[in-house]
Amino acid sequence: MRAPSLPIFFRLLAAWWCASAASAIGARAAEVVGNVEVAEITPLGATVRWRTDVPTGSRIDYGTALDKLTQKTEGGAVTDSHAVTLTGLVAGTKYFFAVGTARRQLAKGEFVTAGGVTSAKPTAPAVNQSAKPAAKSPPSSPPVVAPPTRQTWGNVASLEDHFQRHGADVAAKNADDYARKAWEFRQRARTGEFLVKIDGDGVQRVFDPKSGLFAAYNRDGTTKTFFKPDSRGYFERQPGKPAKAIAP
Amino acid sequence: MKTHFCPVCAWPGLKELPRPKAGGGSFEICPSCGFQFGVSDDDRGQTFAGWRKTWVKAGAPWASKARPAPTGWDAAAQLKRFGR
Repeated sequence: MRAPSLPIFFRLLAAWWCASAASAIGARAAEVVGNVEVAEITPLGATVRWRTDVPTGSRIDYGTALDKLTQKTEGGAVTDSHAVTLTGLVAGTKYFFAVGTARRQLAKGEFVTAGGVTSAKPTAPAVNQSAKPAAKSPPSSPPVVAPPTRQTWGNVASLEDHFQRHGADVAAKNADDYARKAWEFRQRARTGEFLVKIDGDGVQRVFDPKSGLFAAYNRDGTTKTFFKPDSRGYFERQPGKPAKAIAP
Repeated sequence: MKTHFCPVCAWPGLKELPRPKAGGGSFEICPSCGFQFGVSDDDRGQTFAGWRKTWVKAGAPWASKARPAPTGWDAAAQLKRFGR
């Protein structure tokens, strides 16, 4: 293999030096300037913006519990004006995050994805919190506020019929309340609390042996139906492979 | 969007296959006859023919209270798909 020509070699060297220098500066002295802003919150995503006093890389560690920021997203170029978009989130869910670089977390915050009451609540920079850590959240923070019915029910035109037929099974006051209860049932299934089966079409069937309630959800998580079967062994007769819990 | 015929009353507007290939029922409630696939049969023990017979005996009323019947909907004409 031929060695790179001299001008290309110097260009690569210069690019490497610039990146290294920026990284070194960032690691040494970077601090967040102003507030961390959480914007464009949708049911499935959000954009986090912050500024640093020197150019650095952009990275967000995030998760549904403050002490478990197990997911990460990184931005592209070294900059002092950062904007990172998080995608694939769960509607109506509280997320904790830390902004910073690959080496260092600079500030922490939290927000709730759309689908109910939304809020963005960045906290003070982490560097100022080291002596006084933020209060710990529960190990797993389940979503509290259900998204709007049109986002949680598969065939919205049929919802009223399902409510009129099965609403009394779950003491639902109206169709929206019925859809909300079905959504909440699914959130609990995500923790492994109930029996779950998933069939070849991705349909998720959930059964709570204690209450006798059964629900079925489409592959995308929207509800197909929610009711209390009359017959014994109904869930056992349903198709699908047992699963420990429903994925988000 | 592809729709499907109800195997009970021949309503042509079901959103899903009543009995998917993956097994079980679609859980869809037919707005015409009210049969819920995977519940009326798998839980309540009804058969397609038995439900149809009961429904026809009751005058074949439009079942959905939330979704209005199409203008000019005719249950008898719909049932002719079964050769009745």
